[in-house]
Amino acid sequence: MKVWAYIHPQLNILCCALLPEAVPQGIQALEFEVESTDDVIYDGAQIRSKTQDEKLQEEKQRKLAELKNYVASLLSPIDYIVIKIAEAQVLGQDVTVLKQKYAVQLQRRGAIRQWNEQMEQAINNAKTVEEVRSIKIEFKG
Amino acid sequence: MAFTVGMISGAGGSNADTVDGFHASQTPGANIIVPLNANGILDLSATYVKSNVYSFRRVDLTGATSDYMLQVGEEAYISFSNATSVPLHIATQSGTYYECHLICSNTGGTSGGTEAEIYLNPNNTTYSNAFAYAEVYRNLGGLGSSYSVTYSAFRCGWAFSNITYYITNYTQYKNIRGFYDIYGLSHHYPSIYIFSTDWRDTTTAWTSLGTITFPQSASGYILVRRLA
Repeated sequence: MKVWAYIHPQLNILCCALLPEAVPQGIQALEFEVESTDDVIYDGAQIRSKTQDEKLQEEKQRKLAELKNYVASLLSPIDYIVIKIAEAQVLGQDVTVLKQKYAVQLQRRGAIRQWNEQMEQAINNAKTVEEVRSIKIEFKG
Repeated sequence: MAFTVGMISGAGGSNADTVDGFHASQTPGANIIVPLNANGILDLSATYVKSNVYSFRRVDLTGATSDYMLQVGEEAYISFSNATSVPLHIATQSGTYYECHLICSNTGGTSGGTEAEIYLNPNNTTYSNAFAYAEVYRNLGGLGSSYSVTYSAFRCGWAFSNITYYITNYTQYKNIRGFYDIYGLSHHYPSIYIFSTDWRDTTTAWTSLGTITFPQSASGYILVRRLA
């Protein structure tokens, strides 16, 4: 899409007009062809479009945040087991029975964490925005 | 008891063709009485009904080239096809309030969408970091929430969304709040997001409802009804 970027004279912030007629009268705007309005930035010295590397890093951060939320949602329903075992340890009790009782859940937690590390690595190793976007966050363990 | 009876007149004693001087016709127009049509429907599609406080009319703003000021009660319809940017072309002013529905018609599924925001850009413009956004949601991954103060437009959806939201426009307080379903991505189809977003600028006038931008090409339609 085309956008017309300028620094707002009163607000002193970067603005992007989506229609040429939305540029306030008397303002000199720079025209950009971008995928999204988020791709235009003011870096303190000039108005410019983001570099491919900046877009890639942003996409990675977005994907990592999505992964973090997803992993948290997988772990949180069985957090009580870890708390139970930790409490028993604090009280000096033998936790062997508890570990046996919850062996399946504890094994699943380990698998989730291992999968999380693999996913983080895949995201961090991605070379393009498209590659990051194509990574599906779904635990199948 | 007194009765007031309008003048009914017809040529040469035949059927009356005016009542109080007004002609009847099934084609609505100025100073025309419109009867029910053959299907028993009062068809006013060429015009509209208005009281002192409410207008009952749908205006098709698809392809409009200049902004139209909706009257209270009036509804705008805007269809779009394979678009990433849809100007609403609706003029607005401080003190107005709207109900909006954004309906995507793209095929349902867990792929095809892009992981990014749908925005309403007020005044057809982005304002860097001037918007705050809060949400609570439930998707395949579970319950969650987020809060951000770095948006440059009203976030009102994600990837492909079907959205219902309400717009408050006072120059000193500008807000959109509503809910949406996301699809076209894993962890969604369906999901439910409840959101509120403020334009944290108390002096800039909101004069044009703005432009909807999508992160990928989308099709569907938008309904905007002015309520105040």
